[in-house]
Amino acid sequence: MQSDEELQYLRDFQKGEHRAVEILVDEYYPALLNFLLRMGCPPGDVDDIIQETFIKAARGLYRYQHRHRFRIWLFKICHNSLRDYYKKASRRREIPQDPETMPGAETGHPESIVIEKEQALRVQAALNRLPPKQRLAVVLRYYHGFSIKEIAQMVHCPVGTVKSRLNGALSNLKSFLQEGDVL
Amino acid sequence: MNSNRDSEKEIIEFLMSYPESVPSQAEKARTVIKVQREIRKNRATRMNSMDILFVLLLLAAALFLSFFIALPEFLAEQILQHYYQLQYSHLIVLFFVLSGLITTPLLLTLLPSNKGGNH
Repeated sequence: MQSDEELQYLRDFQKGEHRAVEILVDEYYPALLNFLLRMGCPPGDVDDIIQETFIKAARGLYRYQHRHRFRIWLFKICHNSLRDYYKKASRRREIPQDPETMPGAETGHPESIVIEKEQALRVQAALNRLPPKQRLAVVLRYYHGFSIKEIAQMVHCPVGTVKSRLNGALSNLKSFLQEGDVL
Repeated sequence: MNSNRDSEKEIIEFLMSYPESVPSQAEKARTVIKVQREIRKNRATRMNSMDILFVLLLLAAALFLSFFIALPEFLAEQILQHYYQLQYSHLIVLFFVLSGLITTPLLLTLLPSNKGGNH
């Protein structure tokens, strides 16, 4: 459920009022950015997909049901935009992955940046090896803190299915770690 | 049991070692400008289609009224009775008027130009 203040922001956002757009972008941009990167989206395209997500959200806000959290709804739109992006990319026969521009702290000691980027590459490699549905469940659950019920609402499937996807993902990741492929 | 929990913990720790990306202010500002422009553009188009719809409805109403004011004997009911000799022509006219009254608000709700106001 939203507070009155949040509902007012959403209404203003729908009208395209600068302050409301700024507040929502400020609040959700980092989460969407990390979600897309962890889902294997190339960093060069992340900005476009996030912009598309916000535009689609503003256009479809009348359809938004307040019984779900706005964050869940926005992530759902973002995931759909990512799927559309992959469809378009596969039609253009592009390979959506650029390991040279993986996430990592942009500030700090150069040595720590290298270590963080290497670690990001390892984790991303492991995530990329997971089937897409398992990857989505892992990213939403462990990185963005959504509950299993919320993930089920987002992907339109029973709670049990989400649980089995998470268990499958964890056992897959365990075997990747044991193989030493990602370490 | 414990080893399972330990390995799960190890996997989660491994996942959590993925560093968070922090977007720059410039990226956010670019997104704000682009999103705001697109929303405004979209709203402007919607306003235009609503304006056109209202003008059309107004025009139809004006024509309808002027027609009957100029020629009062030209009532729909009389025309139907004259040409088709229908016994219940007034009911037919009433049916059209009522169905129009019911369907018009429904159509107006369904029109894409009317989306977005109330939620």
